[in-house]
Order: sequence, then structure tokens, then C-alpha cells
Amino acid sequence: MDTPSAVVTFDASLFSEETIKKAAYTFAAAASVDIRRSGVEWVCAFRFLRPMKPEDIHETVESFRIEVLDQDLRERVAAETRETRNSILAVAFSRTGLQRSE
Amino acid sequence: MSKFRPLAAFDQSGAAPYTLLPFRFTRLDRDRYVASNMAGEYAVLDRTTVEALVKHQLASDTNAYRDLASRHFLIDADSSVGRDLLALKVRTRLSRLSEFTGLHIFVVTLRCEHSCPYCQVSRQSMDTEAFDMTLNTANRALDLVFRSPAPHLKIEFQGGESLLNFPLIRHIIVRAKKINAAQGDRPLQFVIATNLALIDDEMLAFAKEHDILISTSLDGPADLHNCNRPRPGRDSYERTIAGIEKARRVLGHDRVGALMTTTKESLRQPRAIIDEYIRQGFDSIFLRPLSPYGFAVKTKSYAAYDVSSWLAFYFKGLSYIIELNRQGQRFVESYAAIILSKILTPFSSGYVDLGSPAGIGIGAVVYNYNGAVYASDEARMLAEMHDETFKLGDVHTASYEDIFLSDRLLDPLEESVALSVPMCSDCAFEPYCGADPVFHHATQGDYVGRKPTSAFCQRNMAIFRHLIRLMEDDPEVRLIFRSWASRG
Repeated sequence: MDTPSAVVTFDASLFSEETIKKAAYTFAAAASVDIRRSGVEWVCAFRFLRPMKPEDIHETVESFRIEVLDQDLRERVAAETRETRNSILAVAFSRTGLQRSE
Repeated sequence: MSKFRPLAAFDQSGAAPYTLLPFRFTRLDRDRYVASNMAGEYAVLDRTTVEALVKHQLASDTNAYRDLASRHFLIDADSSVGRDLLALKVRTRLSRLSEFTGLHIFVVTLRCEHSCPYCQVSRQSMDTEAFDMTLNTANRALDLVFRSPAPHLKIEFQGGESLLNFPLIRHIIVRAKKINAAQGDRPLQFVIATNLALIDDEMLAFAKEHDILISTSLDGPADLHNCNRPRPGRDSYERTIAGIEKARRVLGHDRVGALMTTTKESLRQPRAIIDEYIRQGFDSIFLRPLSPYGFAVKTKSYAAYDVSSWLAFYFKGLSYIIELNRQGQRFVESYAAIILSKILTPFSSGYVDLGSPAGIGIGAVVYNYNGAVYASDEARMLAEMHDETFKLGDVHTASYEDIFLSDRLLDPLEESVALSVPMCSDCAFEPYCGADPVFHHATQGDYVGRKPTSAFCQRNMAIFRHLIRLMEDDPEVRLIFRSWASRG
């Protein structure tokens, strides 16, 4: 029996490759996801690893759409806070003796 | 220049200029998200709030804004000190790293008179003294223990059944105290892990003299315990209970602890197991799943139940324990307490499995009976299955530097740091979680593991979500959990 599949598309001008890849990875327990760029879209082809009911497929696809939106927000937070994050880690390790100059 | 800021500066009605501090967010359930900052402080938000926060559209006169500012998710003109406070909290959280190896485990023998099918250390039969640690090996291991810069040292004796080589335990303790006294007397603690079946008055008198803690195994009521832990005479439970009582009489009630292991037979009786612990006068229980090592794999005990079955057991047990607390019975589930201390306090528990960087080698180290040094207790269990990936050296041939600067330790530590691992790096639960490269190597073949299919990830994510939901949905549970956090 063929395993179920589904195709989801995203506007490539709104979402980065990194965002789509990270979102797809979180679904690796349920499906393999083939990601391709087709013109102005990301095309994500899901091949589910186990038989699923149509309503479960629909729910998974909807979850994936939300996950892509979440990953996009995460990317923004990471970009905006990168410097702060590094300076906080520098302070955190500053008295540990774990960093020593040669 | 005007002495006063313009009127617009006091207008709180719209979105305020603010700067985001680093944070991560993960779905809690259908409608809610958990957001956590670098110090592990968390907030539960709906998606609209998450989106408004990230897009700088969160109005400053909302509770969400004030809450997020006070928990260092954002800073504005009035809270710019938040960045420094956050850095201090992160430093406190990571301070344990600089202390280095505090727990030193001596496997004084692999012999055991029990024949538990779930044994994760692959014990040997009683008459094979080839599996005892020698005096020379113990002395070499002790030299390594006292090279550790840790401000507190704990030496734990494990087996097999450790008391089968009691003369060596006696030697190690006397010698360790002598070395410690000559070095300036760091706090030094001893723990004997034993099934208590063989404990006698002489051993207890020695334990009393040297302030030794006893850690034993109690799997539940007599039927379950004796089924899980067979020994000649089928009296493991009776001997354990008698041993607990005897040890408490000599050493004091709180000097004896117990651990349980969950087998397939345990799954349907969480209440009976907890009731047994209460009946025996314990004020906590550590509901532990089996690990994928030793006889637990060979006898298929590990494969006898999956993560979701164990979680159902765990949640039922936790619910019962919370109910007992509501009724005034102070009783703690220890794994939840360890996690809650990470969620609700700025301190790190030092629990090896929930460390990132992993606790292997830098939190605990194991000196096996034959002189081999392993990065953790699980690493030596793996070695008994002929997988020496985490063997760091040998006490007879390797120096302290050889062992602790070995690629066999540094590679898994470096590769598995959750801050930079796919999925973990974006996960709001990362500050509470661990790397566990030994588990992932054993189950998935590499130090990092694939988190979407990792049993470690599934189990811990489910527990983090469950604990946070319980706290968010019930103020009384939050109070109970706060009291547990101080014990984690």
C-alpha cells in the first residue's frame, strides 16, 4: 500500500530556505519532506511514514504551516538578539576559568 | 533644552520602542506557547502575543508587556538593566561547569547475588572474583579523584553488589579521608549503593563512623519487588526492608535513600509503588524508566514498554503524589523536583542526564573494577555490552590530563551541546533539558541524535509540558511545585 502524501507551498519571498528546512525537520518522525524551489514558491512534498486518516493528514499539514510561521518568528528573534546573546554568554563564562588566553 | 521629556514619551497607549532579549518559544498545547529566556525563566503566551512581541507591536500598558519586561524578554528605556541581570542569572546557572567533576563512582565489584533480568550493569555470578576491583586499582583511581578541582567531592560505591567487596570500600574510605585531610579538607561525602541483602552490624558501624549514606533499590510492594529482583530464597524484598530498618536505626532515618526502576509489571501499579515508599517512611520517590543498557536490552526488558506507556505511568504517579500533597502529605517526585528547580530557580541541579554541556566526565566519572575509566555510569553499562566508545582511559596507564582532555570526552561534549543542536537550539525547554550523548549514541548511533525520533526528547518534552501546564492551570499545584523546586 502506498504511504499517504501531501504538498504544501509557501511564498518564497516571505520565507527563507532555513525557515522551511527547520520546520520540515521537526516533522521528521511523521514524514519525509522533499523541499524544492519552484519559481516564487517553496514546494514541500510530504511523504508520511505510516498510513494516516485524511483528517490526520490535514491536521499535520496545518501544524506544518504554523510551524513555518513560528520558525520565521524565531529567525527574526535570533537575528535581532544575536549580539546580546553572545555578550551574555561572554559574561556568563567570564569568571569560570574555562576561557584562558594562551 | 527642556527639563522634561515630551508628552508623547508618557503615552503608554501604543506600542513602545523596546529591544528583544534572546528567547525561544515552543508550543505548549493547541492555544498556548511557552517562551523561555537564557536563564530559564518562562512565560506562557498565546500566539498573538508571541507575534506582537517579535514584531515590536506589543503595547506597553498590557500585563503581557510588563510581565515580559520583568522576566527579561525585552528591555526598554525603563528596564535597560535587564540585560545585565539576565547575564548574571545565566552566569549563576552555568557556574557549576567551572567546578568540574564532583561525583566519582567506584565499581568495586561486578559480582551480585541477585539475578535481575533488567540489570543494566551486566552483573557477574558470586564466585568470579576476577570481577572485583583490586587495592592497586583503587589507589590509582583515588589519585585521580583528588586531582579534581571540584569544591565538593562525592565518592559512590556501586556494583554488582558493592558490599560483596566491603574490605575494599573500607580501604578506599580510610585512604580518601587521609588524602583529603592532607589536601586541605574539602567537603567529602560517601555513598554506598547496595541492595542491603548482605549488610551486617560491622558494616553499619563503619558506615556510622564515616558518615556514609546508603542508597538502595526498592521497586515497590513485595510481589513486584521480588518479581523484578530475583535472588536465592526469593526474599529480596524482605531483606531490603529489614536492611532499611536496620540501617536507619544505626545511621539515622534520613541517611538511607531508595531508587526504583520501572518494569512492564510496574506500569499498572504506580499507586501501589508510591504507597510502598510512604509505608517505608520515605518522603520522595524517583520514578525512573529503564535505560537501554546491559541485561535490560539482552532480556528485552527495555523493549517491553515504549515511551508513551512509561509517560502514562509517570503522569498517573505524579497525579497521585500531587493529590497526596493537597491532602497534607509532604511527598516529592524526585525527577519532577530536579526539573522544577531548573524551571523555577536560577540554580542548576547537576543531575548528569539533564546537563548541557552533558554531565559526562565533567559532572561524574566512573572507575570500573578493572581500572577502566568511563565518562558516566551509563558509559560503563554500554562497555559491558562491548561498546567502549566512552572509555576515557585506564587508571594504570593514563594521567589525569590524558583522561579529561581525551577526544573521547571532548568530542561528545562539544558536539552535543544543546544550544547548537538542530531543534534543541530553538526549543523553549532547552534550559531545562540535557544533551545525553551516551543515550543517543546507544539508541541512534551518534552523540547528537535525531531529536524528532529521540525517546529522550519525547519523554522529556512531554514531562516539561505536563509540569508547566499543571502549574499554569492550578495555583495550588504551583505552590506545591515551588516547595519541590527547593529540593531539586
